[in-house]
Amino acid sequence: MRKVFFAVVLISSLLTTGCFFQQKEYSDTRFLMDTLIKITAYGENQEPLEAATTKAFKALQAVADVTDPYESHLEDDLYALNQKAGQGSVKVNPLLLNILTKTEAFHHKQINLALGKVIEVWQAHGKDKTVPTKEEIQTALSTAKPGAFTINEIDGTVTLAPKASLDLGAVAKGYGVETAALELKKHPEVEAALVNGGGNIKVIGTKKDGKPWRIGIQNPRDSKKLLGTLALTDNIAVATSGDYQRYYEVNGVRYHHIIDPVTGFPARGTISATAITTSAYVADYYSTLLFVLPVDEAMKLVENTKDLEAVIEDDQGKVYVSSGLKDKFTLAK
Amino acid sequence: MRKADYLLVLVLVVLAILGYGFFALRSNSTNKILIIKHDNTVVERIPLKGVTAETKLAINVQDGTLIVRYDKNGAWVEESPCPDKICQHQGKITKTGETVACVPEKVLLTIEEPQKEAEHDAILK
Amino acid sequence: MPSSSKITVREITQMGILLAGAIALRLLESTLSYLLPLPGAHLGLANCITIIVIYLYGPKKALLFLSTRILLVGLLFTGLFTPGFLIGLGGALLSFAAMVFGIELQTFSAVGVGLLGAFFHNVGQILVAIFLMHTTALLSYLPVLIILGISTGFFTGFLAKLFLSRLQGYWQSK
Repeated sequence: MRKVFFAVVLISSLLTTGCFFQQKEYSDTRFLMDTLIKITAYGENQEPLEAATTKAFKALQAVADVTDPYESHLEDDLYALNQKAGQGSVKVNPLLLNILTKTEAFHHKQINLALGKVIEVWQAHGKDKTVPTKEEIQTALSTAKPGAFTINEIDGTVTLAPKASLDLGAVAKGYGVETAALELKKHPEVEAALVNGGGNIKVIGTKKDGKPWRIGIQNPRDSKKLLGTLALTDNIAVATSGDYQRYYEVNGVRYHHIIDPVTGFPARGTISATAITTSAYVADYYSTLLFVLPVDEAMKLVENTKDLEAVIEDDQGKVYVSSGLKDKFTLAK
Repeated sequence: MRKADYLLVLVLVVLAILGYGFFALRSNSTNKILIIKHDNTVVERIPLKGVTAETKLAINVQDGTLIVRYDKNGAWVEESPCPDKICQHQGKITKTGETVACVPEKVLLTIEEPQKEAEHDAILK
Repeated sequence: MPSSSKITVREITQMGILLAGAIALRLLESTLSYLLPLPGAHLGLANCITIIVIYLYGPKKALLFLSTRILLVGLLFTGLFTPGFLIGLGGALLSFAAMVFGIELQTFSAVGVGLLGAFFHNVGQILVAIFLMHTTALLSYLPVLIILGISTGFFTGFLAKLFLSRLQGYWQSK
């Protein structure tokens, strides 16, 4: 009797193991660029996922090192460049050169990579919870005038005006996330992946069950709630800029980290801007840009730009959703 | 026949009724989504609500082309290259949970309701 | 139920005849297969013979009988290791285990055994189909198959009972 049962169980389990397929998942979280970055990779076997994720983090680390304005990592990184302001043309790391060149190609006055000194002023006052004076800001802003830095692509050099300082906060994380995603894409055993850099997310591939990736946008005024949810498919990046990410308050006024290059003060009018496009780098760029622009100008720009969608909430609480997101975005209740 | 046999029949009948009741109670809601799977992968997710006219869908399968037809009420297999053609005789599915399967060609049609509270894969902070 | 493990020539001959009967029944069933939702799914009428074999020769020889029947049916009709074959196999194995269990319990008559066999036969078929198609959606076929199974189970069990009582003592090996 026992033998009969054993035989039956054995045969039926042999039959079913071949037909059973479960997708494996591997994820790792590291602290990079002042944020917790989590990479989750999906595929048939665990080991190649781990290998791919490690490589992706390595690539991300390279971007972090080269764009860090606070610490020295390489001889030709951003820190080194800022040190040599006013000393003529400086050879920079090709990775850094690439980021600078790509960003400069956009030509929007709402994004200025030379705001280093202005950001320093705000950080100093942020520690004491004080507000800088207009004069302080004006002085710092004078170092960020057009022409504060020039790029020579042929030589691979950058020339910084005296006292000028570059800060890549508007695009560095997005560029990093994109680099990590591209590294993951090089590995065919990675069937799908999600790179989550807090305010910058990129998804590649489709989920095993075919459903779209569900990405939630945090409610700008209640961290426990959501503004809404996006349903995205393969190869899409999302980035959010908000006045709730890094800020301090003085006398009921919020001073956040996204500086309007024209005024030198935190941009007003919008509290959350989310950009959706294919490259995480471009998404990061546009999320900052759309945050700084007045809402109606921002939405107009989105409608006129190919492959770009956005969700913006202004300081009155009104939410604007671009036309291409009609079935992909659901407002939270 | 012994007592145990009668009891068994009773149990089976009850099971059958319960099972049938469970599937029959699936609501014929308006938010039906037609899922078409081929070889364990979802190839189509079609919200039937937005379907205005009868639509034909061809799927390349192992032995040729399998043709699915659907309208705003449901879906069925019109033509299949499989040897037994059982799927062609299964008729039209209209309610959530109903299925039509072509096992040799690994095609599955089923109707689902959209999830109400879906989990998020990530949150932008 | 006899428990001698040696198999005699007489037994092989008898089982050969029964085997032919089982295969013939399967052939008959397959002409009706278009009525059922899964390929290779069958009513399980051949279970009748399996019940008889278990009662007459014991579970071990019956398993040999069943395996031979499955192999032959696979070679002749469904093809080996096609989805249809696997579905039939799953049903046959699960129902066999259930029927042996039912007979060992000694609380059921052949009719009860037939009912058990038919029920688990269908459950086994659906389970295999679910694994093959990787979806639990196929469970919706179960209620219909259970109802069908009640009648085929009763039918096969009843026939087996009839056969066994008529041939009591005549076909049993000495």
